[in-house]
Order: sequence, then C-alpha cells, then structure tokens
Amino acid sequence: MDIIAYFQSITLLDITKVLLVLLLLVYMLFALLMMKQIAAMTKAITMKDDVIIRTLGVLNFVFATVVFLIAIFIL
Amino acid sequence: MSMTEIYKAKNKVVEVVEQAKRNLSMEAIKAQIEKLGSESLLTSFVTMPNQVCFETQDDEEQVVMFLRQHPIVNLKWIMTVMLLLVLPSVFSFFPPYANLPTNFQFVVNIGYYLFVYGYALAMFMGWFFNIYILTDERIVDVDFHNIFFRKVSTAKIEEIQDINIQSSGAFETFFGYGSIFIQTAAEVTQFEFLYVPNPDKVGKILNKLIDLEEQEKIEGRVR
Repeated sequence: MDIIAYFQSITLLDITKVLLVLLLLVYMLFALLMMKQIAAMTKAITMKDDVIIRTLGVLNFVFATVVFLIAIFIL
Repeated sequence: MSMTEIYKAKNKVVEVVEQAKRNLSMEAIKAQIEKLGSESLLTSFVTMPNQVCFETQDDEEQVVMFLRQHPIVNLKWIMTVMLLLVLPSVFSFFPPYANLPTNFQFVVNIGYYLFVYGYALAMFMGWFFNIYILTDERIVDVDFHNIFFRKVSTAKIEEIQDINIQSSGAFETFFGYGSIFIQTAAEVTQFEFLYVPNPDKVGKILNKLIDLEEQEKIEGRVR
C-alpha cells in the first residue's frame, strides 16, 4: 500500500529531475573519457602548445562536474 | 695492441661512419626540402617542423612534413555550433520548457551550453588529431574519427607504389586543398590524406623522399 502511495506521489517534475541528473552524470563520464583521450593523443604525438587542447579537455570535465553538482543541489 | 682494443676501435670506426651516413641523409633532405608553413597550434601544413614528434619515432628519424585537413573543413561544425548557441533564445516558446520552474530552466540552460561545448570540443578534436606525418623513413596516418575510435597506420617510404593527387570542386580549387591517395605494399594498402592544403607540394615532397630513399639504397646508406 505504501509503495503504491509512494509511486503515486512521484510527479513529472521528479522524473525530469532524475533524468536531468542522470544525463549530466553520463555527460560527466563522457567528458572524463574525452580528457583521457586527449591525454593519450598528446602523449602519442607531441606538438607545439598542445597544453591548450589539454586545458580545453580538463575545462570540459570541470564544467561537467560543476553543472552536475549544481543540478544535485538546486533541483 | 690487444684484441679487445682492436675490437673497440673497429666499433668506433663503424659508429663514426654510420653517423656520417646519417648526417649525409639529413643534409640531403634539408637541402632538397625548404621550410614552409608555421608551427602554430592550429597549423595544417608545415615542413621540417622542429617541435613535432611522435611516440614510435626512431631517434634518428626526422619529421619532414606535418599535415592536417585544411581548416576550412571545420566551417560546417562551426556554423552548427553558432546556430546551437543562439537556439536557447527560442526555448521559451516551447511549453515543456516554459512550464518548468526557474531552477530547472537554469540547469537545462547551463546543461545545454555544456553539451554544445562538448560537441564543439569533440568536433575540434576530430580535426586536431587527424594527422598525417611524413618522415624521412615512413608515412604516418593518424585517423581520429571520434573519441571512441582512432587508428594509426604507417608505411615505409620504400613501400610506396603510387601517388594520386585529387583536387575537385570549386571549394577545393578556391581554397587550394585536395586529397592524396597513396598506394603502398605495406599492410595498409591505401593511405588517404584527405583535404590537405597544397596537395601538389605534398606530392612533390613525397616524390623527393622516394628519390632520396632510393639514392640511400644505392649508396648503401639504408638504416
């Protein structure tokens, strides 16, 4: 009975919140993968100023983590 | 003079001769291939770069040319990103978004810009890490299709059998880029240098490298 009441209390907004957080979590993992791939590629081929592309990759991961945390706290 | 000393002296002579041969090869390349292009981060064409090296490069191997696709190939995704950046201004017209509470709208907005940044970065990486390298010994083709797939193929210069240069269409002619198809006797039978700048110059340098390799073979300077 309690379980039915619990499911009945779930609103569309709750589902949206869970979906958004899950989506951002998946994106965070994707950003981590991207960062790793950039590190592997810059190690395989060393070029002038490749620190810039590595920074872009790190920034993507940092932004993804920040947005994920914001979503958890403000939703 | 003991046998050990004779052996050591002989080895030293061989080493000096080998070094002289290597220097001769290097000088021949430097004499025939002039320095072109800049070594900036976003370069797509540079010859005799000083700051490019790759993981499997031999100590004596000299990078003769570094290539990427012509920057103009990025135009399509840059336009898409610009369009995506202005898209949130019409979000409010969509009822599912408009009916969301402010905090949800905020997260959707920053999440959206994050995805756009990620898309732009992935597309940029696709261009940035799609690299073609010519050395005095081999050709290296780094295919970076997406973040889950990359392939590195190499073939020795002496294995090159045929070079085809193709530049077609108004866009390619106007911006001076084209594709080079290299048939080889290596495991990978065809190397495709797609949409590279100055394809004629690349072809010319490839032919020079083949000639130099043949000359090295004749003179017994093969490494």
